[in-house]
Amino acid sequence: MEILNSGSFVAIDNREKIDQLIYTAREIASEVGRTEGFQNSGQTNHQLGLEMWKGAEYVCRAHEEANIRNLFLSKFLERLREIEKERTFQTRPALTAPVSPESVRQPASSVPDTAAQPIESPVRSTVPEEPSRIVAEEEDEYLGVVPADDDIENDGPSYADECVPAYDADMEALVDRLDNEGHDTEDITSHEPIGNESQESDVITSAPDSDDATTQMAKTVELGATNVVPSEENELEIKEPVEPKSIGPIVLAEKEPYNFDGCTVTAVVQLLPEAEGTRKCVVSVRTHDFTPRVAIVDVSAVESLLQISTALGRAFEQYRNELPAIAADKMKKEKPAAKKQSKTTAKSAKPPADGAKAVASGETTAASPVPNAETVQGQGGLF
Amino acid sequence: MEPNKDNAVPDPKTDSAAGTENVTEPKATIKVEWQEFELDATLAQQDKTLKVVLQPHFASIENANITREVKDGKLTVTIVKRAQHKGA
Repeated sequence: MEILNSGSFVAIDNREKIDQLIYTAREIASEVGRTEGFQNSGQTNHQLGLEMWKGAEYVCRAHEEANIRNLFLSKFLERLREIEKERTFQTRPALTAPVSPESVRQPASSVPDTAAQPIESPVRSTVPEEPSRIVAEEEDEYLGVVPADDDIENDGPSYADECVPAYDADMEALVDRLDNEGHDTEDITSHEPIGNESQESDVITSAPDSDDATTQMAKTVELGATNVVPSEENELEIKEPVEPKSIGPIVLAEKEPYNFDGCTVTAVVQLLPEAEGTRKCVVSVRTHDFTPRVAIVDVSAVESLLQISTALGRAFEQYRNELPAIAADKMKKEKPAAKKQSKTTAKSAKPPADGAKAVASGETTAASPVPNAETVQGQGGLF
Repeated sequence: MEPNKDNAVPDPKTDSAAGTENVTEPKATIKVEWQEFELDATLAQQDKTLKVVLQPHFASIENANITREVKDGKLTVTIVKRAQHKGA
């Protein structure tokens, strides 16, 4: 495997590049862990990982950048945790050699250690331990360390899971696949809670308190992240654009019926200037092109609104009663006018009929270039 | 020079029909746009009042010629739309 060069383009669908990225992250973490004076703490490691990511200047697609950065950081932090654990196990034989296995197991059941592990489930602490297995793990650090580390890693917080905004199901699947391929040979069923507990208790006894604080903080962040996601989803659901209701037009008929309820009624209320403590209120009501019905009411300043509404209601009622008669008068006037119009059109149609008779009699008036005197008069009448 | 009609003080002889004969009928007859209707005589005696009252219904009354006639105490007001320039 090769180190991914600085400034390389990394695409999430490019398996080779992703592998190189993971390898690079782990290599960088290994080198960082080897440097003298390096203090392994969660916050510092995180900052360091981000600095490394910035320094690498990898080029990614905009929508993939967060995922790839998370992958890089998670692998970087993962490797640093492994280095830390390796260090603790390297130093542990010297510390545990004079101590018997029973003495090692005592802190796990003691009160201070349980207080130091509030995250751990109570089921694990109640399970009886097997001394033979613990002895075997202590005797062979390689056989005993590997499965215990993996279990701790599975229980421990992952940076990739913490970064919920950049969380992607595809990315999760990719990480899982890579992890599974790397640990195909491991037998998961062989992990027993006793070994895990002993390993965790050992780590806690040797690790500084800051690690506990960071793990707790990480778990709280995880919990916070899981709490945040549904709220964001709810916000998205709320922010979904609601289709605006279509505003329909008010359609009026071209010719409204002479019915008070079926036609447009125009009412005008005018308050004339006050004189002698009262105002003249002029209420006029009309429909169609009819003349208005005007009423005058004296309105006092105290109950002006009530008096105006009363006057308006009375005017409406009066006009409602009068409207049929007004409409009938209009219809009467319109009928003679329509008859006159029909007579005038009939008279104007007669001269062409005479001309038609002339054509029927065999005269060639239409063909003659000189126009007939009658037709000239008829055409003149048109203008 | 023609006096400005808008700013002129109302002439009782021309603006009001009460100059020659008293109005005794409470309703006046208004003739406008070939229509007739009854209106309170109090509103019909002054041009200004008549325009204010009828302007919402007859927009042309603003620049119309208004003439009054009192016959047997009944006021009759004739409103004739003044000829306007083309497009007015």
